[in-house]
Amino acid sequence: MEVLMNKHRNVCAFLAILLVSSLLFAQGKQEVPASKANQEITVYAYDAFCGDWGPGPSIVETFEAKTGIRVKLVSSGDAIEMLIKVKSEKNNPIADVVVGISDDMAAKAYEANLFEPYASEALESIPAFLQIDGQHRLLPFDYGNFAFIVDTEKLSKEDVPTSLMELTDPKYKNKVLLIDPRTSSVGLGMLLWTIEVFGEEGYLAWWQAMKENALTIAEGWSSAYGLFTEGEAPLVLSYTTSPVYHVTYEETTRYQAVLFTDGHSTTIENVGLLSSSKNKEAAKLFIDFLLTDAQLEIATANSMYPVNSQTILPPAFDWAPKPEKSLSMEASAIEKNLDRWLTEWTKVMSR
Amino acid sequence: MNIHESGTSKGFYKAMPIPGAAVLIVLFLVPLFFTLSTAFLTEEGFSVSRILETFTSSYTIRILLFTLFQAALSTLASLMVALPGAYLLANYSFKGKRLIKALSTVPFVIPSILVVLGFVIFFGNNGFLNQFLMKIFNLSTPPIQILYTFKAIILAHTFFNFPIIMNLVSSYWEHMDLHCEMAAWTLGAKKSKTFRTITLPRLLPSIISSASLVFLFCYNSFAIILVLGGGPQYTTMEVEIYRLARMSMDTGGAAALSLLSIIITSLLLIWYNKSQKVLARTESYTLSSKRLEKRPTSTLGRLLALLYTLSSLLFILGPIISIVLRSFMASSTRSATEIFSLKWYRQLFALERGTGHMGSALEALNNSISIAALVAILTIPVALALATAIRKKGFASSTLELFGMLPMTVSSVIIGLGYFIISNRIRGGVGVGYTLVVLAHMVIAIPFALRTILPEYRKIPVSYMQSSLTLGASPMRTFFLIEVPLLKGALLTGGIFAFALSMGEINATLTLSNSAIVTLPIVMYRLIGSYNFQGACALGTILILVSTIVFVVSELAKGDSNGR
Amino acid sequence: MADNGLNCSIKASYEDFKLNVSFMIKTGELACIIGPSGCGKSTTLQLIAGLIQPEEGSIQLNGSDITFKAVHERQIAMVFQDYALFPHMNVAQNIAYPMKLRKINKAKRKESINHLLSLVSLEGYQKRKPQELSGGERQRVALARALASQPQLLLLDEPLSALDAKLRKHLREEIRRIHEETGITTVYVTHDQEEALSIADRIIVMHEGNVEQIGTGEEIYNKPNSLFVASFMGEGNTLPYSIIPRTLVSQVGSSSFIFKPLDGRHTIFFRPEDVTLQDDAKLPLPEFLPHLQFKHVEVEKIEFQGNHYRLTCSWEGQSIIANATRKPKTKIVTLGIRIQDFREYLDGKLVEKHALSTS
Repeated sequence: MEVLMNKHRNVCAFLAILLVSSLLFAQGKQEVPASKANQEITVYAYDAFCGDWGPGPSIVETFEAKTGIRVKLVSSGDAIEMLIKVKSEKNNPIADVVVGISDDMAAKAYEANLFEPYASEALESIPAFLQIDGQHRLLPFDYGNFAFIVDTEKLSKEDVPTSLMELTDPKYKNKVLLIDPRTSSVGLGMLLWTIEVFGEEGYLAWWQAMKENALTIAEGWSSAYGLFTEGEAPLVLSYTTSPVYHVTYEETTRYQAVLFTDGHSTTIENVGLLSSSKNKEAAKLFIDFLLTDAQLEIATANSMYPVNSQTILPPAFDWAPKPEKSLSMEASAIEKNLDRWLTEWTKVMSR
Repeated sequence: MNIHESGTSKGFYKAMPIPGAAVLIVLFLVPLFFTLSTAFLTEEGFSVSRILETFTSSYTIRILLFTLFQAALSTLASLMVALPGAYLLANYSFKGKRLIKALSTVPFVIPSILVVLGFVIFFGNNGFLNQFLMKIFNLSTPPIQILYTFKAIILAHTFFNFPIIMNLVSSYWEHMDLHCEMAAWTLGAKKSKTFRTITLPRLLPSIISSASLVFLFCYNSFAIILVLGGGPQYTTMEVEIYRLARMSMDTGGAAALSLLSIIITSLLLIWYNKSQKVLARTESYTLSSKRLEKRPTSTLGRLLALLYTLSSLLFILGPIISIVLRSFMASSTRSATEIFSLKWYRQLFALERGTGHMGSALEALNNSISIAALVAILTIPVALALATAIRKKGFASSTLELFGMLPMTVSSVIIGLGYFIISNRIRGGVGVGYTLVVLAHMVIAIPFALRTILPEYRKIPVSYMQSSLTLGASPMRTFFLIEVPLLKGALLTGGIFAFALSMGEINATLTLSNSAIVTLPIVMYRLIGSYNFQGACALGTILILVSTIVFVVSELAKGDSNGR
Repeated sequence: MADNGLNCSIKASYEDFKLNVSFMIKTGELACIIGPSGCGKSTTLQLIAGLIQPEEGSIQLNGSDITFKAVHERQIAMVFQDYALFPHMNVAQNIAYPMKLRKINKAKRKESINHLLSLVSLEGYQKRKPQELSGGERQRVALARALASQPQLLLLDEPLSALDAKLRKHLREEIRRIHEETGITTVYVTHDQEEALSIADRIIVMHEGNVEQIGTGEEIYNKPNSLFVASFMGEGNTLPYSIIPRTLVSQVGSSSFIFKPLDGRHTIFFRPEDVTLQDDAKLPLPEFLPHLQFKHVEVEKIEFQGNHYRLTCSWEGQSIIANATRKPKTKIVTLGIRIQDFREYLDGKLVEKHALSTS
């Protein structure tokens, strides 16, 4: 009997200690910063933005120092998860600001009726073609152009393709890494790009032809780019700004962006003020900050272009060529047809 | 006769499934219910039209069939690779046996993205293996081009999953006595025939147990199929669900598909379970003297053993070693040859905590380990309690068993959606998030623990418990003094699996904690998302190291507790 | 009824099987439940132990009603067919198990273990593990363990069925000896009638879920009240009643036997060892009158059994087994059976022999 009780007791004690200490430990991680003002806003952003290697933490720090407003930066997976999360919290709102809704998701955001129009002063420094929403429910904070990155050590200059059509040439068999539009926003961007270039009548033919040339169609940008840097194939779908990272952190110009004559599709990342916010003034200050002072940090950390034309970029950005033609699609068009396009695409590609 | 029919034991045994059921209901059934119910909602209100549409569409049927097919094939392949290994581990003693066993659980821990990367780094056209072979044999094109094909899917699944089968089956095998085999030999059956007709059927409970786990894993596989398969012709249910839920934001459609998946896999599980029970009834505990552990004597035997060991090491270790090696290689620029360097590690740990509670690598490591340890410690008793309840015969027990396996049949996307709902309704500090994460991990871990515990449990003769009762020990005492000690090995294995699963989990952690808690996989994903693949490899290496240490320690502990 | 011992009257039914047993065992007795496989004897034990619940009825032990008591509170120890020794404990720990439950202190436990081990003739086995023991040794450890719980009733479920003949013989004597030394009421289940006959104070014969007969070994062997019990408890010969007129030999002048056939399957039954053999025409037949005489019996098979010969014979199409102390000299012999050495059965049930008037 004593044996049993002892065992029992010991186990319970151990468990209790473990549980309590982990809770305490967990609590201990929470910072209690001294706040100058009482205000605090909650900002949702996609995961990469919030991580140590993203722009989020330092932007928040600078902003807090500047305004005294506390910012709670919350990551909720990728941009889509964020949107789903905000939608599901409609009746019980937590966030004030949402960072990272891309233009191809814009229609869904409007539909959900989540954002309040805010015509920030900073918009004056932002080119019109980036302001996708006339009502300013969504404001752009960075953008990029989709482009293929080439591994110059594996493909000689003469062999570099110059257009989407050229990519379908048999000489690129198994040399291209594409991304699935059903599972990745970058992949989706690619799909839209082809529709923008070839129109609804022609895009499927391009994809059909690419079946041979694609080494694989990865489920996300991470995998595709990972394969690329491992040398599996010399061409990968990414952004024109990707080389900036390599130049800055790896001191190499091995990976270069290729400009196509067709023009490049843009992806514009936006920030929005939630109508349900209880701290609208503070939130608006944050948004302004994002569109002005924070632009450089965003650009370098995210490896994307700043929207604010006054931002002075470091020389590494010379390696991110600006395309002559920027292509884009109407949010409503995307909303209306996306499902059908994806289904058609799947049909063609799975044969 | 059933021991549990006795009067007063009912109280004790009735209470058994409650904790496990509670966890599963709160953290699984409830969110699942909410998510699945969207499948029944259309503009007109409650309706089954969506469901019917989905279930009957030929497109759906096609991907369902493909998903089942690749899962079945992968499972078969895993079995073929795992069984010889199980044989070696169960019947022979040789150096490094424990290490192999420990290492083989590592694939579990690594997030699938790293699995994919590891695979590519090792087996890719530009990977280590090919580069090595090309250098040696002076070739110009890579000789082994298996990636980006259907074969690669099977290969990767096998790599990931065969260790489970190997571990579970070898543990079960170790405790099987040889009487039936000896009888067969004396009856004139050759060793190979005996193996096929006697041993294999006796092993079936554990084989089926582990195979069903593997099947479900492969069924829900995602990144591996898309990246390594090469393209959308290998679309599975999970991909489609993902697409509907996230791209099209069509929760109802995703839920409908998920419902179909759940039904099909549940049917399969039921069939598995039924055959399990029939087979287990005939097996009993062995009291025979310790299995003679022999070394392979014939040169042919030695050679085969060596061959098998090497090739399976290649399988298991190849991709892992690639990740580890990668993390130690750096070059001043991308173009120069890479040399050994600790650069990535320094980078990781030099980073200070950001203000957004995002944490550094050290903190993430801390979190991962503490959560995983807690999950393991809690899952063991909960799963054991469930197993006790399941061991009863009758309708309730089969339902319970199915219930316990259900989390594995549901797409992680669907579960993730359900978590959103929970995290919305429950506000609280980091402590609450922590608790929720632990519970969510337990939901994933319980099916595994059940699968390791049940076959062993069923083998304990009822007479042991009955005997203890007649000697005056109450059902509860009997449980702790007799049943639990005899299950030590299985419990430990189940706990280790729980630990591994928790270490590698990412979805629930992110959602339920509102990303206030950072774990290793999360940081890994962030690194990858920021172009920093080698940093991710470094983190992956740390993950591998921690897991290996834990598994080796547990193997040692198991060895000591083998007081049989 | 009785204030003492085991009083058991229970009914239970399962998928294809109905159990209805009622018997009483005095304190300190060693009773055997015997019957063919599937007759319900192990089930009865489990009912007594409380491992299964009866549908109806009650069980009293030493005056108190234990019908609804939990297994672990009944103070009934049971030794199982597979011995159920706990593999993760050594011999001493196995035996100590029930004592630890009763909070007996270490010193006393040690003493008891030593005592019990010598009782079962296994001195020095404390540290051994169950896996290292032979079948007989395990059985004895299981017995010692059961005794360590100081039960009011000891149940043994076919404890010797897994052992070889010589060991069986030896161990059943041991069990008897231990029983006498400890005095614990014991119920012993077996299918071996030799075992039951040799050690039991009381035998309960079961058949298809019912108690066929209860009594001492002699009562059951010599006066089986059904053909089933008769043929189960030992070898025997069953012949139709109708052969009597052809074979009856009685004293001249006395009407010693009234031949009265009854409606139904009327048979006679006698044991091989009661058969007399006449194989030499020159020798006079030991005349025990009246008796049944079988002439022109052909000896088909002779088996040497050590202390007798077992003869399989054929007479008018009937088979007769006879035990002879010496080997028959001829192939055709005469067999005889005294009137008082056979019993009559109607449809399997014992009926009174139609009286022979003594003369």
